[in-house]
Amino acid sequence: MNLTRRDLLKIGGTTAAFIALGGNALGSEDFSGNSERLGMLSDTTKCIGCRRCEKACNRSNKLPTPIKSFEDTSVFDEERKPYVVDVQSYTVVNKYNVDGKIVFRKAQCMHCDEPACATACPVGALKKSKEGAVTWNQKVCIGCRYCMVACPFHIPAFEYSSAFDPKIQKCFMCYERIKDGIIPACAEACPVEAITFGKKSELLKAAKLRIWSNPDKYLDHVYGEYEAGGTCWMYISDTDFSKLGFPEGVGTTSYPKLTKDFLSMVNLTLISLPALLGGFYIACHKKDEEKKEESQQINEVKS
Amino acid sequence: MRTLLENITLVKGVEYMIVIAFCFGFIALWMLVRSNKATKKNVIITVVVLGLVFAGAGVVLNKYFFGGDVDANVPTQTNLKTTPEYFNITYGSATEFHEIMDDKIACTTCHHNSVEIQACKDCHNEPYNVSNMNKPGLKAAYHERCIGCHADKFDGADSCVHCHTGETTQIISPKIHSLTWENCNTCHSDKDTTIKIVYHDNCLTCHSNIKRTGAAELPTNHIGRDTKSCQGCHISGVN
Amino acid sequence: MSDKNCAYKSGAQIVDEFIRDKFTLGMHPNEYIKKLITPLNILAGIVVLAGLFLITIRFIFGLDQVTEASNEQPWGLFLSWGLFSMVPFSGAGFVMGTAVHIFNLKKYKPIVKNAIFLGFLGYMFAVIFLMIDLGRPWRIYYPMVISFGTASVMFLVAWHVSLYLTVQLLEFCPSALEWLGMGKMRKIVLGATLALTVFGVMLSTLHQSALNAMFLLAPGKLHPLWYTSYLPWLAFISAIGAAISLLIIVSKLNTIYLKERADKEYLSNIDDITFGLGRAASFVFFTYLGLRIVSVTHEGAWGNLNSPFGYWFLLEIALFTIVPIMYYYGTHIKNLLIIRYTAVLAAIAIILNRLNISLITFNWQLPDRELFYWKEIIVVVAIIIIQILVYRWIVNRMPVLRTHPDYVEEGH
Repeated sequence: MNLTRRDLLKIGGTTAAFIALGGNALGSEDFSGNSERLGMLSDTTKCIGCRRCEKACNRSNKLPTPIKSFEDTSVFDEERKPYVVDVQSYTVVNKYNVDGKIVFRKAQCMHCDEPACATACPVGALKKSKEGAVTWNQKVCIGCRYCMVACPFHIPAFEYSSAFDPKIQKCFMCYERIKDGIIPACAEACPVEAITFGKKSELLKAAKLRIWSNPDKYLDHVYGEYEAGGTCWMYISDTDFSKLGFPEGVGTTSYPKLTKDFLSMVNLTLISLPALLGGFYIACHKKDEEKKEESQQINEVKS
Repeated sequence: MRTLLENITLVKGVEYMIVIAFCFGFIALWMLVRSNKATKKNVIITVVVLGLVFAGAGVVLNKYFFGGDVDANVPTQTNLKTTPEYFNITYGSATEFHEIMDDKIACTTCHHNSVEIQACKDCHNEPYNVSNMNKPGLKAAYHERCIGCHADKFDGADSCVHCHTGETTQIISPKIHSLTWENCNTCHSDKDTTIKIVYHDNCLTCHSNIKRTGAAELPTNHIGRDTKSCQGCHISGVN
Repeated sequence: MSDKNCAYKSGAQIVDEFIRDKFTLGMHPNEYIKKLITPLNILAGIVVLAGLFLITIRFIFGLDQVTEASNEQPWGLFLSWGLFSMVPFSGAGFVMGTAVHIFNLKKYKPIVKNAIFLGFLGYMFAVIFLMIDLGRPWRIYYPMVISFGTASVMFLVAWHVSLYLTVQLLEFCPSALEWLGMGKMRKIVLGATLALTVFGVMLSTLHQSALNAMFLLAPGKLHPLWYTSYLPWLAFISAIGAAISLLIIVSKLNTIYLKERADKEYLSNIDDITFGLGRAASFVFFTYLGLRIVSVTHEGAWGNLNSPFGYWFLLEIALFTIVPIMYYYGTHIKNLLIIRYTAVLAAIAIILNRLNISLITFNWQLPDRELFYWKEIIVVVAIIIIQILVYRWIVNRMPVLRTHPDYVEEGH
């Protein structure tokens, strides 16, 4: 064994330094996100199902003209997904009949504070921007569709019909407009301001105030306050949310936490295994080594 | 204040760098321990150099991921505005309106929150003003004032026709026709523009005894209606 | 082969000899091609052509030509079979490499090269399946060098699979280099065997578990009887079991179909090796069963048993119970046939488990899911056939089941 204490200290010291470098990021930080982030609030009691938001979204994002026009009310006969196939819209308004009462709900990307899609993306194409919108970077997306597996709201849509430029389509909260200082298209189009737009923190307060001021009218729950760890798109309603087409099993844990533990184990294992396996190797080859040394000694004696 | 996701992304990136450096270090250590031939000095120099290289890479990656604004509370534009189209709507004369509503409700029912009578747009302008979330923008103020009382009429997408009969940027006065329109020729042929085609219940509910500006001079005068103004009365598939 | 008396050989002769020696198994090319035309080969050829045709269609017209993937169910049979089901079996490389090179279990030396080759082939075709399924396959290297999404489990999988493929290639190199006659290179690569094996184990442990850890991000979508925070470790252990089962099956098939490519050492030791593998497998599967039952209890999901998916789960658990029992019984009464059939059953059980997690119980609450599309099945079968053909091609030529005559004294 040629290893001296000095060598051990040198190597141990450098390793410890590296760990310290990365370790200081792990401190007890507050992960409440950018306090200036924007969000939207949907009040289902106000929505009259006019679909102006869908139309404005379609125009603003230059999406193809839909097969059924925006004034055609027969679309309410089925519960549509935000990415209506062949049309690729980013949002839809669905009609729900709950105990005789008609309720409309607008469905689109929830712009989660800790998005599952952004956690899933291996190239970081989906990112939570500091403005609050979850954006997609066309330049790096590889089309693996893990984001679609991860999203608890089944939102990202993929262009299966394109072989050369398949895009991930979803609401981007009119990110380009926001950067130019203009409010999102759906918020501007809504004639009754069933969609409210503003800073998420302010919207949350406004939503709670509305609920508190009208306790008979609203359910005491802001959907999106804690769901999926908090989302930037929130809903208040007078109807049970489970009847409005929200998926089950969304939970209130933020999604990165679900794989964080596994990822922590990964690096621990990677560092522990070499020494462990090296130890096994030495232990299991001891006999062979002894034999080799014996034969070497015999050869030396002979010569 | 960052998000958990950003934190994990950064930490994992740094950790992976450390692991790679560690692997090289381990190999060097193994060779040192197990072999009598490798010169200690060379191996240790290699390890230290590699370690510095990866530490440097780790620092660079840190910058790459977050560009330094780790803790900054990046302000975003919260004074976002609407596009000019929002205000391009001409809301027309309210005279009509006042005549109808005159004996039905008090003035302050519509002209609320003010001692003196003001126009709607004097207070209601941009929507989503952070400092006063309870004050709707102009468009919603208009709608809510009416829908607030006439909620029974507004129960779906097809109820917009009660007021709207054309593109919303057109002149609007009560019962003006807006919304989408397909083809006038469905009803009006080139030669035959008789009143008969459009003159029945749907028109007469508005344009009958009581005088109304603009639409009274049927059928040749189409003030307030654009060329696609048939479906305000004629709902496709119904009549 | 070469005429030692003749001093000069024409270029054509050299090429001809090379082709005969390396490619056409010592026969004249025409002879060789005639030998290839058997009924089974023709059938295989038809399926392969159909598969290749569909793959071409996919690359020209898009994924919706060959899959029924929707926005709720984005991963179909390509990934569920090619990546999630095949990769556990491809762990044969690291399991045997560890057993022989680290734990020094000399008994298994004859099958090490075969195992490594099986592993390498498995991973290579997993990558091929991935290339077919990715939306933009020309960007497959992006997670490596262009943009890093380090919080993602898939990022880990991408890195590990690419690194591990390299490791496996290097581990398999000696056989290929022996075939090509490049002794010196071979020696260099052999020297790195230990490092490669250790590195391979490190990578394997993590990406075998990572493949199922990807589904940790979808708690609401995976059925409660299958979703558990122990998913990664269950995957790792079942991968070891799958590797062992595959080795049992393939080594037996080799003694039947590729007998003339194996040497005495291989053929005479196979039975003994099979017993050893069977014993190990019984332990592994027993551990897996225990972990599985604990994991379901941990999630508190036993209440879901009385439902269609609950019965499906019971079927899976029943298979996983029978397997270790049969493995033990087979080694106890020294019956090779039982061990081999159990290996087949184990393979089926593991494939069932992986398909359940990635396809069948994924989005179990949604109505109207189309899971298996006939075009996907054709492509999958075509690629399996290609895999078998490649395996056969290489084993027919390279010293995988035997030691190359030039290197016998070294004992490799």
